[in-house]
Amino acid sequence: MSVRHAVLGLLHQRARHGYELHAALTSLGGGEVWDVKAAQIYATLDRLAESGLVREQPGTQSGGPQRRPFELTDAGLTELRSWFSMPVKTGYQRDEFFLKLMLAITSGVQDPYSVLRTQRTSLYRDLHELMTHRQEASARAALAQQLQLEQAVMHVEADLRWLELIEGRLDDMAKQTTVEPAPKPRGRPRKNPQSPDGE
Amino acid sequence: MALITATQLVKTYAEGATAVRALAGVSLTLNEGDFVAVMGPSGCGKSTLLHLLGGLDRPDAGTVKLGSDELTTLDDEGLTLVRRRRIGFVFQSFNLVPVMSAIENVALPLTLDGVSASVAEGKAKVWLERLGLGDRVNHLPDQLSGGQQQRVAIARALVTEPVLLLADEPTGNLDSKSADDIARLLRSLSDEHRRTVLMVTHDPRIAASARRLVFLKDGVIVDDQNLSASLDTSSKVRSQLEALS
Amino acid sequence: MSATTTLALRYLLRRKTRAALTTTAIVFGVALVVAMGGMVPTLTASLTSSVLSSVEQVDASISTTTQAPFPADVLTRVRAMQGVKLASGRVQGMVSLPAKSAPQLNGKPIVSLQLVGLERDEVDPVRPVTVTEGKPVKELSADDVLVSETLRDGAKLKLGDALLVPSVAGSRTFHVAGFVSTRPGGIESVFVTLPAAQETLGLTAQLSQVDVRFSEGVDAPATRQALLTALGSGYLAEASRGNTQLIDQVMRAAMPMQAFGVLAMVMAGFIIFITFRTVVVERRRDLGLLRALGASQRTVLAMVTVEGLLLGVVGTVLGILVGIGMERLVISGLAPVWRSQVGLVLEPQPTALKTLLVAVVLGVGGSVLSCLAPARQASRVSPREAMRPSGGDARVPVSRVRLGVGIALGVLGVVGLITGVLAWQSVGALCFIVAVFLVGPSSIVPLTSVFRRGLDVVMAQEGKLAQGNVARQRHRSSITASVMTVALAIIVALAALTNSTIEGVVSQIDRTLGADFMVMPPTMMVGSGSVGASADLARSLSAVEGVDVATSLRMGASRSGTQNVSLVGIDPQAYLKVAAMDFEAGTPESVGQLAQPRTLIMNALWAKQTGAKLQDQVELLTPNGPVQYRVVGIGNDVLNYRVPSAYLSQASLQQDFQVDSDLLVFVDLKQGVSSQSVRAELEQRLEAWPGFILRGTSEWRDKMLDDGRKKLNAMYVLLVVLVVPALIALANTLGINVLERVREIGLLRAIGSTQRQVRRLVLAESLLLACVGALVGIGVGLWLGLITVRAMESFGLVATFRIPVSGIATTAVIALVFGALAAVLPARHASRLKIVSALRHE
Repeated sequence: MSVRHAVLGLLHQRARHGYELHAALTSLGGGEVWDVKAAQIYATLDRLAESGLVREQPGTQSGGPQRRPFELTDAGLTELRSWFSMPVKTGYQRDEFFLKLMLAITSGVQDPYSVLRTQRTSLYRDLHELMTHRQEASARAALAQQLQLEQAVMHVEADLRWLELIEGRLDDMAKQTTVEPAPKPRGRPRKNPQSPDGE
Repeated sequence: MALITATQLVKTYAEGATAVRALAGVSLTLNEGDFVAVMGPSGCGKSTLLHLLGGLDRPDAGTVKLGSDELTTLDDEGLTLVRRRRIGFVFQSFNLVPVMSAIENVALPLTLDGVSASVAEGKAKVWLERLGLGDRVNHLPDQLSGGQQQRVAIARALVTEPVLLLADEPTGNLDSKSADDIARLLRSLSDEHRRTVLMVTHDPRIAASARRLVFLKDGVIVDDQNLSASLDTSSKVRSQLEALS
Repeated sequence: MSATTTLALRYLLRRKTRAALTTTAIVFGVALVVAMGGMVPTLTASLTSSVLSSVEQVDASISTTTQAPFPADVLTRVRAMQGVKLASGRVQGMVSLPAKSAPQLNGKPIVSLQLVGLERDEVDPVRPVTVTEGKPVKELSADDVLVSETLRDGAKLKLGDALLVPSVAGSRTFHVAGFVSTRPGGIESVFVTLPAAQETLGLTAQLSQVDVRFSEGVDAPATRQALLTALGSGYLAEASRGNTQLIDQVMRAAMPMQAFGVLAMVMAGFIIFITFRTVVVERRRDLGLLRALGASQRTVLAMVTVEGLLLGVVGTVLGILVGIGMERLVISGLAPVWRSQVGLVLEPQPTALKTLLVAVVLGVGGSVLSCLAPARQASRVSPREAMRPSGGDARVPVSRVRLGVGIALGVLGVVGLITGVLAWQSVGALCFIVAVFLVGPSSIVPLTSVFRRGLDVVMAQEGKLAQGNVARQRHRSSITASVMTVALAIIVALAALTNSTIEGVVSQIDRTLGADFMVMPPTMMVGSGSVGASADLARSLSAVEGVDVATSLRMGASRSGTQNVSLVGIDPQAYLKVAAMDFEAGTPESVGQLAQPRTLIMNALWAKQTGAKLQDQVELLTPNGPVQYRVVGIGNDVLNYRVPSAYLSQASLQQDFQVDSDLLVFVDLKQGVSSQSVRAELEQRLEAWPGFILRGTSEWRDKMLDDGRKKLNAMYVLLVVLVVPALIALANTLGINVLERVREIGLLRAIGSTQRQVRRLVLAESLLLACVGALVGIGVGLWLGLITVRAMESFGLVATFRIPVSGIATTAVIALVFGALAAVLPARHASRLKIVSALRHE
């Protein structure tokens, strides 16, 4: 499921704690309410660890699940990569595809353009099938079925147009960094904000 | 067997003071019976590719092989003959000579080749009838609708039994119904008559009628996919298809 | 019919108006060529047929090479020669009948007749004259005259009617004694006895012609040759060739007439060129499509050329028909004038094959040639145009090389002009013209700025847009402006030429004619042999109170080498009192030197043609053989500068050429005597000489000026017609511009331009181009006029360069008018475009 792979993707970027994952996932949604509870994330993390796709980062003090940062394993990376190379086939296309795209951009595992291309090709294949059947069906299918077929075609067309738009905006999107929750400043403020090695 | 092979085509246009790199090294192979749609954003070079494959223009670098002929080695006379006999063109608009009737337009490539008018018009009539225009053979272009004009253009493109049909936005100026008809027609030509068709289009629906999709961007091919080979159609689509049969 | 021809024909028929306009230009050009080409043979035939028609029966017809009369003893010598059976002599000369007593033919008085004197007893067996009513020739008495049936019927003459004929002694009245049948086409002649004619014409003991019949079985050519050898080189043994002076004049006029025809053809060629360029622009997509479908370059070239060929053929055929019709029309209008002034019938001749051939070559060949360059351009249209048209002339930059060469030539040209040397000025003109064409596209925009100011006064917004349009299509705009330039330059040059010539003549009259009065026959054609007057006339006039001097001029004709020359006999002592000469070599003293035997003063024209200098010997052919004359001066005066001529003393003229009758008398009054008081007395004395009229010199001068102005105005009318092609070219260009900018015009209208504003836009562009064309055209025209006038001066003709102010003003007006006219149709078309379809146009 998408939450699993989202977590994998975020962990590829860097090792994170559970709460960080929750925050990052929410912000990935681009403002949309994803309605992913923190508990779901922890549960997902456990399952992923069981499957060997993630592990706790060794060498840190363990003081409870909230304090352990997790990292990706090699198996996890393989799984992540294979997920990237597959198109999204369900009706949740928009959401999952968008997620995949954003991850591709931020995580650097896959070239976002190839993600787009894969999706596009798949859509075209759908369209091809639909068109073929439409041409065959028009002779004998009843009006209602024709209209349904037409609707399907139009949905695919709409998605294709959206992909086209995305491609055009890809450069802009790449420049825009993922909105990380600003780390709270700790400790005393630095004396020389203008220091040459300053951050 | 490869019908047409383009290798590393480069073409640059000078547009006033600026130079535009239309094609930056494009290689493409078409086999007999292929039905290819070429797509891409505007300025990507797809029209240029069509120009070069059809011998309407010469590349700055690279080769185009049509059968055994190397187009870049031909002089203007040679290219003209290739266009006349071995390639059929369908353009977006303004396909027909305005002062000639439909049948004369269709016969034109033959009469230019020296075929007698009666023989040429006989063949023209056959094609016009096949495309459903048998009752309009003597109409002038301005007496025909957009879709009818495109069909006449297609008839003309086929009358010499060419090896390659090149279409540039053939449905660009048509309403959706006519566009559909044309797409269907091209598809049937490819399926039933084993014609090799390459068309440039920006309409996804029309592109999806083809069996192979080539994407151009910034003068290079970025994607080249077979459309009908795949079997993993989406579940929703599959269920709809099942509902129909 | 091949695809090429089908396409050509269909495309032509699609634009019927334009095809018609273009064809009209060809028709006009060809018609002019045919008409002009036909006029000359018709006129010459009329002049020569007169004599030819009547001499067929004779074995030899002897006259002098110069057409001058010869001593009567020649007849005696001829009769004595071997092989001659019979010979008969005649004398003939033109007489000018005074208008008030002349018989009328079809409402017009017959002013010129040929008086023929026949040997009463000798003529019938040799060259009979058929009398149909009245006395036969044998029975004619001294006062009898035989008149043609045509004259009888036309003037309603009866036996016994009087015919008053001027004679050297004043006048003589004959009575109609009979009527003769004459072949039509001959010169209108009346017949009297030989002695009567000799007395009237002042040709005592002289003959004009001897007709000879050989004995049977004699070798005719050999006998003719023997006759000539015996008589000498001054004689011919064939029919006279008609009035050579007149024929010369006709031939001289032929050249400019034919040049006019050719000029019209050139303009037609220009129109075709411009029209076909329009075609190429308009049909870019079609042409690209044809090429994409597999039409070879040759096929496209052929298609456009065939269009030109079709237009050419249709235009030529129509042009020939129109031309023949035009010629007939002109001849029928000219015939009565010809009849009354020259005494000859003018009959239309069937059009010579040569003229038709020339017309076909020029018309069809010219049309095809003119469309070749556009046809080639058409064949070069890339097949890509079928897909995405590039929109007409891309911004082709003008090559620097071209600009550089153009400027260099222009500067060279101006330098040539400044040197003042004719040769350099002419070369300079050529350089400048080429420079104009080379520099055209680069300079057209700055030139339009010159006129923008003026235009902005009337239409501010449109001026800017119009100039922008010109800037976008510099090549096409400069070609259009140059068509205007060519046409207007022709007008200005010819105006300058005519003005200068008139000015030259008038100023020469002022310089050289000092007399107060001139007494002359009303129709004085140089050397045509009008009846003169004996010395009594001059004597009678000089006796009038108040007259200081009355001195006469006599005229003869001769030949020097191959050149026909006219001779003017003057009194060396008295001449300078009444007239002056413009001397190129020699001084007024040279006139006095004419008193020495066998001396002459040449006019500049003759001198230039032969390169003669002072003290040279020239040969003159007299009836007694060639004679050497010494050149004592080279000078001009107003009476004889147009043909090669010379002044001799009257003594020489009489001795060598047997001319002793006065043809013109100059009368100069004493100081302080008013001309009115003397005039009445002079006129009274002249009544005895009905063949002469009195003219005040200043009157005559004013008449010349007036005639000249009338000629100029007539010429302007003709030239305006010539400029019509320029109008068509301008309209065509504007038409293309509108076609190419349909979308833009739609946009203008959509954002709020009114129809009127759109029309004004087209008008503004037209006016700008017309003004630029006029500016350059006037400059080039003045230049061309200058070198032509100077060239004429160098040939000895009289002209002083005068800037034709009225010509320039006319040109400016024509430019503006045509600029406006040419814009009418395109402007209307532009303003009426439907906004929506215009916006959708590619």
